[in-house]
Amino acid sequence: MSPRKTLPILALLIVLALTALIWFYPPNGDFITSNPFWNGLSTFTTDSKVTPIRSFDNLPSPSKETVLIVTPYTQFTETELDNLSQYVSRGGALIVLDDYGYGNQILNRLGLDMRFTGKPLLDPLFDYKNKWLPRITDFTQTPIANNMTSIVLNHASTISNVSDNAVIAWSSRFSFLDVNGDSTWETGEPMGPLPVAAYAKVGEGYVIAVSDPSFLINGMINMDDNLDFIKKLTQLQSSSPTIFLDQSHLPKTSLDDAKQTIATIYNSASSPLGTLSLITVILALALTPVWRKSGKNEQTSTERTEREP
Amino acid sequence: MRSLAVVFLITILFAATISSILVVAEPVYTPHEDPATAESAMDAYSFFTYYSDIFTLISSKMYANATLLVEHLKFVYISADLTYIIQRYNNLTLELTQTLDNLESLLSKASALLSQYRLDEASQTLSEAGIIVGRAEILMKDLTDATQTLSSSFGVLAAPAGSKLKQAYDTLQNLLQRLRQLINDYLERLNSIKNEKTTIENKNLNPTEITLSLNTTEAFVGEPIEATGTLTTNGTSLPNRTITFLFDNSPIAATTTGSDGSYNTTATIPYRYVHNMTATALYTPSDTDVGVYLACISPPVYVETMFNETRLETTTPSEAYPGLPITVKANVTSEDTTPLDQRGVSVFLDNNLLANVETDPQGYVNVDTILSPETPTGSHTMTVAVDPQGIYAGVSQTKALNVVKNPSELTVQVPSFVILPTKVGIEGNASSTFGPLQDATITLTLANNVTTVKTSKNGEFNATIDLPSNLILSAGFQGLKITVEPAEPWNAPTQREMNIFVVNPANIALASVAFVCVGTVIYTTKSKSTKRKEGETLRVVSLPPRIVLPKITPFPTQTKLEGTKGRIVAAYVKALQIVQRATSISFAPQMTLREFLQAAKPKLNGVADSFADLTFMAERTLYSLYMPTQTDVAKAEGLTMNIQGKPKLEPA
Repeated sequence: MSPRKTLPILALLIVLALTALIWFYPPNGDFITSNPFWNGLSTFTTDSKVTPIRSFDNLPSPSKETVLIVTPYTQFTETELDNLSQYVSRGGALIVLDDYGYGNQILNRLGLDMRFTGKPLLDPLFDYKNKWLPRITDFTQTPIANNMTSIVLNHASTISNVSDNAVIAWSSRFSFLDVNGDSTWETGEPMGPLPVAAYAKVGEGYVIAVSDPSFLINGMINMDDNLDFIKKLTQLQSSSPTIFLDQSHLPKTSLDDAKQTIATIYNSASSPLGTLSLITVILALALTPVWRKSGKNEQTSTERTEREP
Repeated sequence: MRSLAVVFLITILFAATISSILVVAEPVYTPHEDPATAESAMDAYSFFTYYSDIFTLISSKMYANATLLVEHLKFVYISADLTYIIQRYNNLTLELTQTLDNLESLLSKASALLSQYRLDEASQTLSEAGIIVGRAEILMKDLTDATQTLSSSFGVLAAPAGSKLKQAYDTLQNLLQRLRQLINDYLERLNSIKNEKTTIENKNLNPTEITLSLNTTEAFVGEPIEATGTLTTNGTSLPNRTITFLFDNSPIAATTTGSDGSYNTTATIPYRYVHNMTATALYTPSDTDVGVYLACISPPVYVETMFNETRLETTTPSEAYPGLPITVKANVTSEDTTPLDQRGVSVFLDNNLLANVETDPQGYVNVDTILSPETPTGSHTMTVAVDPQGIYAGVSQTKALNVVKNPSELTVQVPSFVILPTKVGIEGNASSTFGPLQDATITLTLANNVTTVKTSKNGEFNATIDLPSNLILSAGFQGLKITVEPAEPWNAPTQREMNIFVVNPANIALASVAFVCVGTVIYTTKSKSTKRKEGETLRVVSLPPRIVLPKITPFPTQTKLEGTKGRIVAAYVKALQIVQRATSISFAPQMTLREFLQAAKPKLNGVADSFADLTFMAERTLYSLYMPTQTDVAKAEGLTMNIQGKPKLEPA
């Protein structure tokens, strides 16, 4: 077979193989519910029967006995903030897991004073392996954190402007807020105990703020009481709530984008019009040699006719 | 061709780059690290600072708080190479804390006994304290050594002077010195109490003696018992002195001696359901007796205490459901089956209190309680405990309880086949032996399409699964998975799997197109092959039996050869025509010049060499870049002339 024919076929095969690889390779983005790697939420999703959502448009109403977990790594639109506000005021429990994201947008819209500080919480003594993985052992004796022993956070932050009786968990007194980012405590930097989880009642519902979303990832969820902690947080209003997990405000990887693009193309091709167009194109391409041949035959016969007297 | 190669290379490069970027891609800013691969680093400064806090508490005699801090160290991550030494260090600190706490108690007790002039008991306590002090000194030495070892491991000795680590280490050393001082203080205190005891002994205070007799040595708990005795000193009775009556070293009554030094008191035997107790009478000097008399305690009198056993018969369920009530029945009687009224009965599930009630006049209780909805399924223990009351001791019974969930049932009506795209309507009913499952969550999954609905009051549900157009889904049976998650905690979830035959026109059309493509390829290939064969046949058929020279010329490009090349080829062609005629051998289309030479050579008498030379010259001229010279041309034409000049080669 001549290179003129083999090269396009080879290129097509490579493109198809790469498309298949991208499509079937599991997503590796942070906090993605279908991500089975260390930074995904597949364990938590399966264990707690979580329903991932990609829009706040269809949040349940009334929202009692439901919990919405949000990891705000991208900004919220005004409509989204309105939806969240309505969800909470109608009785839903909103758990905002944030360290360096846009959680304060939500807290601000809900009229709460507490804020995520957005600075790293380091604990050089009570930790797992290193000070970036602080271990939390101080829980207030409330039903929310009853019988909790310890949880481990991962590159967490803290919460400020919160009253002591609203705090659910504190960091150790050896922890500090690394305001200037030099990884060591300097004079003037806040020292522990610092709040890492707090809650507030808003309307008929509740807002729970936890200054680290990473304690839920697959690599962390089975450490200490991490899984138990999130379960207790979700059971603030109901023993068996329906749990929704927002997936629309997460950092995206190139793989996610590629998957999305392929999905869009596939969905377009799957529609009746798309399928028809696809079939037409394939048929046209497949039958091109036949048309060419018949054209040539006609041309040849015409030429012969012209030559013969 | 070149443009195709460029496109191909760009595609390969793009594919290789994009695939590596996509698959290995990680978020640009990751606010976490993989804990499995995280680098472990223990902060020695914080560790020493924490221990400084512990030692400060110990040196302030706040042993309970110090113990809590040491126990809290279990939350500190310790790297494998330091695990042993740090655990040993923690254990030593904990042991020292407990030892010092014990020492504090013993010295306080000795001091209190001495203040009551109870010299014998004080001596015994001081003796115990002496041993404990020695132990504390050994532990202190071990702790000092362990601190050195730990400091070496942390690299303290290599740390620059004035560094935070060095400062923390120095602080720790200062606190260790304070601990040594604390032990010395205890030692001094021990010696001081011993000296005080010696001083009291040297005062030669009057010894006292007290007797004790009871009206009975067998009694029921709660019964009054009469104690009598006499307090004397050197044979002389001591009137108006306070006597404390003790049962198992706990004071239960006090009285005053009469004018003859005798005393008489009645006390109630404590409600402790043991079969033996020890009674003693104690005199401690007070007021004006202080500095005159020594304390004394009577020889112990053993009392056999009695009480009635309580009989308990219980009826507990062997199985229970989370969130549903259970009934526990109990009958509380005495050993002679007399019903016991108003006895407190407690019901525990795995040591967690479920209910607390009292028996009725017939000794029965009927406890209706609800198991927590969160109670996990599996084996549990249910304990029914009757509180002790009066002369009746308490009793308890523990039985196994299996917590289960009621199996759910599901009936579904689904279409046997569907054509895409469509909305598949599914109806069904969920129930259990307790009745319809109301508000249960039904999740239906068909070909990766998921729908969730809730059941109605009578357990019915009606769901629609949207099956859009799909290119991949192959026609055939597709698995429908239906899971039921009951709202009630006592009903177990269930699931059912069924098959629906799905007809996918898009898929079928694509498959048809694929067949068409394959058919086209086969058709075009066959067509080309047939054409080639036809061409070959025509050539064979068209060859005349006698070769017509102009038609068999092997040099279609002959006319293009000019100059010396053209003249040499022309000479060869002329010779070739002569040889063909003379030998009757045709120059077939598939023949090379040499093949023709080989075929004709045997019939070329005398000119074989000339024709061979001419053939090689023609070959060289035709197939090489060699440009023949005029000499070559002359030679070729000479050879042709030679061949032409032979009479046998002339055509007939």
